[in-house]
Amino acid sequence: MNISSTFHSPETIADAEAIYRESKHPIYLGGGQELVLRLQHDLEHVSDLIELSNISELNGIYAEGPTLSIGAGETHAAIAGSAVVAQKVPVLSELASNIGDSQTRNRGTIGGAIASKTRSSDWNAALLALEAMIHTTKNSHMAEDYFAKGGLTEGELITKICFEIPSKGIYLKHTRASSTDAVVGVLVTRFEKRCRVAIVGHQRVAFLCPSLEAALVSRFHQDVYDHSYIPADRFSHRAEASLDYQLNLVEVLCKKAIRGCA
Amino acid sequence: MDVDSPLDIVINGKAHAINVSNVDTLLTVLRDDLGVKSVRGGCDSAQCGSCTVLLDGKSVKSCSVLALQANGRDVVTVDGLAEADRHSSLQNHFSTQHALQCGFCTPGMLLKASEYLAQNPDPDPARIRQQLRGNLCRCTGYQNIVRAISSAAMGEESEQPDSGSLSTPLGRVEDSRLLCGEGTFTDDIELPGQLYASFLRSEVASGEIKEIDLTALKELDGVSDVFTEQDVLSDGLKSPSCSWQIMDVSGEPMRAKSRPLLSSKKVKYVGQPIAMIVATTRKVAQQAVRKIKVHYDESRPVIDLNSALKSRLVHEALDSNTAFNWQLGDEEAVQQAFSCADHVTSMQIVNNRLIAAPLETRAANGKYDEATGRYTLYATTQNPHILRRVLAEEVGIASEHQIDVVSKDVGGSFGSKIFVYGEECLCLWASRKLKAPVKWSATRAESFAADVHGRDHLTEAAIALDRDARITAIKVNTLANLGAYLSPFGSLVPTYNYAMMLVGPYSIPNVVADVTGVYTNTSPVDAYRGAGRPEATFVVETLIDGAASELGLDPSELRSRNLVQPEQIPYQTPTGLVFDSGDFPAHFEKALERAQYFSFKERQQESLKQGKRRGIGISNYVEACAIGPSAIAGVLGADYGLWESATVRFLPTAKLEVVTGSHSQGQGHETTFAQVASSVLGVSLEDISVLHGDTRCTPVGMGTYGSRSLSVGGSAVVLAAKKLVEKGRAIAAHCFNCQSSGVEFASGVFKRADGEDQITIQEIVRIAHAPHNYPEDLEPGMEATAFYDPKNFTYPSGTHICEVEIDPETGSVAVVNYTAVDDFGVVVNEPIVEGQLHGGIAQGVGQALWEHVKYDYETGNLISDSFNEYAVPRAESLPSFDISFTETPCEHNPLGVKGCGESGAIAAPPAVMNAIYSALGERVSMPATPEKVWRCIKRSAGSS
Repeated sequence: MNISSTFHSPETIADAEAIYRESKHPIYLGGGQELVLRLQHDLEHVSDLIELSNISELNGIYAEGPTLSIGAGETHAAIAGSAVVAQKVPVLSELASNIGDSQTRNRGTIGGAIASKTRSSDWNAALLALEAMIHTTKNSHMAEDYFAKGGLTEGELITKICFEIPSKGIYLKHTRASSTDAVVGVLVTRFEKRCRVAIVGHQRVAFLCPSLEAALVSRFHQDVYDHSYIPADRFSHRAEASLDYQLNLVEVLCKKAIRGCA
Repeated sequence: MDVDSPLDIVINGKAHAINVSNVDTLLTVLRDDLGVKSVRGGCDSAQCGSCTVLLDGKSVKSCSVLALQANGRDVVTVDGLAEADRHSSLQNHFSTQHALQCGFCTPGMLLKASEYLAQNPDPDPARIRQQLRGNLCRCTGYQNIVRAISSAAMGEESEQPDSGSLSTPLGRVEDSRLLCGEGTFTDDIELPGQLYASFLRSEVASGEIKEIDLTALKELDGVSDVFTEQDVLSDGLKSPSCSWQIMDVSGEPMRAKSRPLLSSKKVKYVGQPIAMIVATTRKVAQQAVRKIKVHYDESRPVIDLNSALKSRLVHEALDSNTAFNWQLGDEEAVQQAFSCADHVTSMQIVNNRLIAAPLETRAANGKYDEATGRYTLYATTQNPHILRRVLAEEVGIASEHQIDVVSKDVGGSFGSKIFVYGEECLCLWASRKLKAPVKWSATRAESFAADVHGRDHLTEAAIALDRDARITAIKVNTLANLGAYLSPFGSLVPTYNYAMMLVGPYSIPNVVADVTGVYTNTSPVDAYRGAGRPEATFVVETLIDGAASELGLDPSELRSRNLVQPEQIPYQTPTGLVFDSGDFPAHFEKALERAQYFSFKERQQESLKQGKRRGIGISNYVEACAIGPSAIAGVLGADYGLWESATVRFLPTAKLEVVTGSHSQGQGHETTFAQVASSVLGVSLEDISVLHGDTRCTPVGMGTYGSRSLSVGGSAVVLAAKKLVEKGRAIAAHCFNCQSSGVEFASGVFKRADGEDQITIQEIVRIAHAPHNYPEDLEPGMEATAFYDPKNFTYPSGTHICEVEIDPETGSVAVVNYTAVDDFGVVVNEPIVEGQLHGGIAQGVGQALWEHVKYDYETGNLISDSFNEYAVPRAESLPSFDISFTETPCEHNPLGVKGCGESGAIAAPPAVMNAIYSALGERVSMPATPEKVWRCIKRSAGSS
């Protein structure tokens, strides 16, 4: 590789940012699995690799009133195994424990998954359906704004994510045989006076279905489902799954999730 | 320039401090810098889990962790698992449950399992299967792995499996090293002065190369040389050619186009090797490929098999894309049968393109020794002697006696490592040119394009029946995709191997098969587990279910009426084969019973209540394997014989060496061949070594494929061992001062028939090596060699029954039951035979539901270039298989055995697809993806 990649292991966010500022082509490394593979195939040109796993400020899982906070550096395995998460927001336990396989969960972090520009993570559905606030070194973003803005800006580092704790939540996804990435994933949550339906799939960002949410608020039952509530323009025909099949999965998973949250 | 940093790391309790490149993975550093060869990589996309290690007690894939991310941490590899003795309790469970075959995935599996057992040892198989999601195995079908982990979770003592007639109580001989990750796979071998090769491969499916721009290579340090087609031609090297001459119906020989070793002018498929780069490190070799710019003049590729005969030419020198039009059978008799049939069922049948995808990719390390003028090639091959012969006789590297081929442990193959590819030839050749050993290991992406593919048939098939639903004829018209070049067995697989089995185990008096071998701009197609017999069985079993449905008969009834009966054995088929043994109704009825076939409707109703559709499907097969009788092979167009060799040698201290010309890729021959020798000579297993895979010390052999090893190779061992018994008898007779005919031999002891005198074979061995008082005309020593040429193929047969449950909302298909009853004749080692079935069935289910090598029809790009795209079955997708046996010994080999290695892959696809047909009432093509199934259900609902 004709790049010189210096490796850094800062222990504070401030140190990490300082290194970032002084580097030519820096990259933050969470679990880093995707990036490591890309480096092996020469797909990334990096001057400085800044490992985040020694920064304790990025860890921590705790409930505080109506929200559950998860540090961006927490691994999927840690979240899946957390008693706090299991007790307060079991849908996030379920979601985390079905990301990839156990080896990938031991390394991959929630921050890394959300920040990724190459893959659409199950977490994106959770961010929307649980009305998450994404706290970064530069700002705090509501999930919808975060996606609308196209993700992080240069050098911005996610520090923690605060999820609103629903009274009920279910995440269901349909996957391909060769991968645990969702072909279509649906996360339905119920709060006191509102509910959320978030959909994630092969498209790069997840999205909510406000019309379906409104209909469910009037009557929380699978019968209110109507395909007109789904923004079909968010889907496209793909090699892995044609459009009508994706829409079918949306309907099947939505209805099943609604039944499960009743 | 890579930047280096200091790394402090503890590996298996031992601290190491070294400098590593910042971008090197933990896998690379463990293997290359620290010499921990037990950690191996099997893919490029962190999918296979072979590289799993424990990092601070947690399982991680070391290929996607930078070494520096493990700085200051603790790593445990399989070498760190052992407790007091060599193996931990978990490793013992793996051995006694036969949870490993080739051993390549085993270290990763063990480490993952040990993490699981430490955290939450739930013995529930479903939970274990889910936990194994990140670890692929291509050999075992996971069943025994799950059993081993479950037993360990329950804290059971690792028990000895039931001993059958010859089975070994302590696991396999091979397990000892493989469980510790101490197998020697070709990539493990590093030679002094090692150079590394990589291959520039075509990115287009069809075109001419205008320019190969090497200028950017100057930016790299360490590129030794770049070789192109011109260099190869200048040295007079030629490509390996097709070994099986098929005659076209016109009387002309087939039009064979063989792949050039390198193609620097014209390319005909994505992945075709253009040039070879040799460098001082593996990394530089790989970087070099990326630096080279190739300018192509692209032309529209021919990808679709259906329209290939009407498309532009793949080879301009030929006047069509047809390599051969071939026919087997009596066309007139078949026409006659069809014209007076009471019922005809016809259909189009697709057999999807697959790839073997063993966990170990292909590798080669070639070394030329200037001092001796000898070449040594370490390679992943199923047949070292054939590789040597081709290198000499066809490629022209050197004379056969100047070349050694050494193949130690091979990490699975399933046919893909039979053939002589260009890469290994060129590594050997380059080592002489560069005066240094040259090593190449395929990346996984490379493997998908560079290994042979399998299957890929488009068939119009029809079956004719009389009023009693007796099958009177089958006719078949098949387009067989050969890929861009005719591969060494590529002409045999879709012709004789296929058409001769279009009778199944049924009394079908007339068969005709017309097969057209078609060139397309895709990877060459050749043998993959089953090699023609899965394609044939799929046609027959699909036709039968179709006919049953049209006739309103239960599929079991139609089969029952047509099975060849035991009284008809030996049975002459209309395609030329003679089934020498077999009782097809026996396993058919046993399978129906074990699968609870006749109470299926009740289960179907239960499923329906849950909103699911349930189906049950039968697959009967008989196959011709243990290739094979050389005379027949010659008639069918083979360039060579198909015998096998064995030397059985007592060393002076009476230990036994069994040296086979066969080889092994995980089938356990070091165990089973020892068992065979032990049973003839009465020597204990611990006194026997089996040697294989090295042309320097083995008799010339034909290698391992076509389920031939025990039947042909094992029989050679028997013959050689029997020669030693006879020699021993003569020596004993001399000692007893009687005639040889008066000496009996049993359980290692020679006894005088009419007296008290006896002498052990060990004492005979001593006498033979110190022949002081010795028969006059007898040579000293106790070593014998035999070459065994079988009289016939062996004909294993079986009945597999599969039950599926389909979720109509998503189209997802789950295999909920799978019953297999097979007849392999005498079973020498039951766990090993079961293991072969598990693995084969897993691959067959894989074909039916998930696996498909896909090309972009427009560009000819290979879409299936990783395990992200090509769905090799994982543990949580498969059920456990119910395996049992019937037995009709093979009549013509001394062991009475039949081949078993390919049966699972042959029988499973139709069992699964017939089950889906039973559930849906409609056919879908393989693989039966959820979307396909869903669409079929929607279509049927729409039209009803």
